Amino acid sequence: MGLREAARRSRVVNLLLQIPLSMPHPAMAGALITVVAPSGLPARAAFALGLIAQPADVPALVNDRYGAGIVLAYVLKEVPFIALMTLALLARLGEDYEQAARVLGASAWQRFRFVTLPLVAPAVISSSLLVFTFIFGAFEVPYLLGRPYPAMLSVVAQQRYLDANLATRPGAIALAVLSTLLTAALAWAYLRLTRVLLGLDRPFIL
Amino acid sequence: MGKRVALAAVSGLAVIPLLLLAARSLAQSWFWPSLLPPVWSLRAWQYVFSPAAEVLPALMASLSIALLVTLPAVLVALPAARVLAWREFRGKRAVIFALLLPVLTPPLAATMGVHALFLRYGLTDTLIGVALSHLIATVPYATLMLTGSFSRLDPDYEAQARTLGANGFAVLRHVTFPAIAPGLAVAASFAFLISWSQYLTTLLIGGGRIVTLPLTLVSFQRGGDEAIAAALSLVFLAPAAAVAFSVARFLKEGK
Repeated sequence: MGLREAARRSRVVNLLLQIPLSMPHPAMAGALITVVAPSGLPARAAFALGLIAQPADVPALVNDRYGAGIVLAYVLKEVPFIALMTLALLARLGEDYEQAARVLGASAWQRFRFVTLPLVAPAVISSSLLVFTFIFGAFEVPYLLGRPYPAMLSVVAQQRYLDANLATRPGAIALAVLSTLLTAALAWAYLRLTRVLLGLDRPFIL
Repeated sequence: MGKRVALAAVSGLAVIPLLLLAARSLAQSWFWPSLLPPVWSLRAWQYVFSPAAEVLPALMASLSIALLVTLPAVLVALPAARVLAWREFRGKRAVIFALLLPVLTPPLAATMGVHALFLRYGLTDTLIGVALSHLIATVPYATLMLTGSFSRLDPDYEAQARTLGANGFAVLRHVTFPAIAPGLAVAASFAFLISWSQYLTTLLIGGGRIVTLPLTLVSFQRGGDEAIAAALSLVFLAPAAAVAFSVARFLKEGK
């Protein structure tokens, strides 16, 4: 929300948001490795300060069990996307509704919860759904930052598909179909859930 | 207060990865526990621009595919968006759903299906085939964005121009096009960016014959030369950022 205030005033935010947005996923993953790898910069700083003795003392965030590096890379990449989508809607809506609520005595929290949030919900829901389905099937970042085994569904499917042994290909296609069905089911559940929680009359698509 | 925090967060998010990549690309070696690279060098950059790296052909392949994708994507999206925004017809929701399907389907699944089809028509391992496969993801986005532009434009402007004696082309040229130009620029840039960053589709449909920048980059990242991977990341980012910057000012009005 503070972002909108800033965006209204300056072109700079709008321009700055373009950088992570156009940053290719593998490049973001590469930049991230420098920070979150066990020998990354924060770990080196901790070593310089005498806090740790060796890289193994820091929790692994790359090729780790929980995919923390993958999550972080996507959060950094997709937050600007959702922000831009929401900003575009906010810019169009203007400030009139909020000002009306303020005149009627609504507090900052009330203005956000009952005025702004319902207004931007469609943009947030649809863009986050796009992000979700994109990441569910995405490949490069888990390929670069994930563990070799057990790998993410998309990585397994891709490797079986391109395996020199063509007999593994039907299995890969089955995995792809499975992930399509899963995506569809989860997207449906998500739209239902947000509809119930936010009291929107129908799922927002366009 | 919240404004400052937000501004700082955005700048950090935008600038820090760039600085890290730049430092990495200029480091001769950067082992534990040095905080800064002990020796700087242009080795990675020299390699990236040398013929041996084959970065230039990859750059040209990426660029030609992205342009081959952007133009048809916009040409298909324009009339579709115009109808979706202005007309009400039976089954409109079904059309919109069908339009969104490629976006909601995992790209891997869509590409595998297309791969089987392209094998039959001899489109695999070709530039055109790769560009066609990128269109699957770009047309829906371009159409949705242009539908937004058209729905904020009153169809009566066209009718008015026609009443005043303008022919179809003149209406398009002097009324519709100027009104949706910002939206058109944004849609085209999105199409370009989506194609620019495709990895999996290019890998499967191009069959390793069509090598674009993302493919080169990922192979260097897996290959382990971090300096070259970082330099390549910046080469990969620059055109995309240039495109995004050039349309950023339309994002507020146009979308």
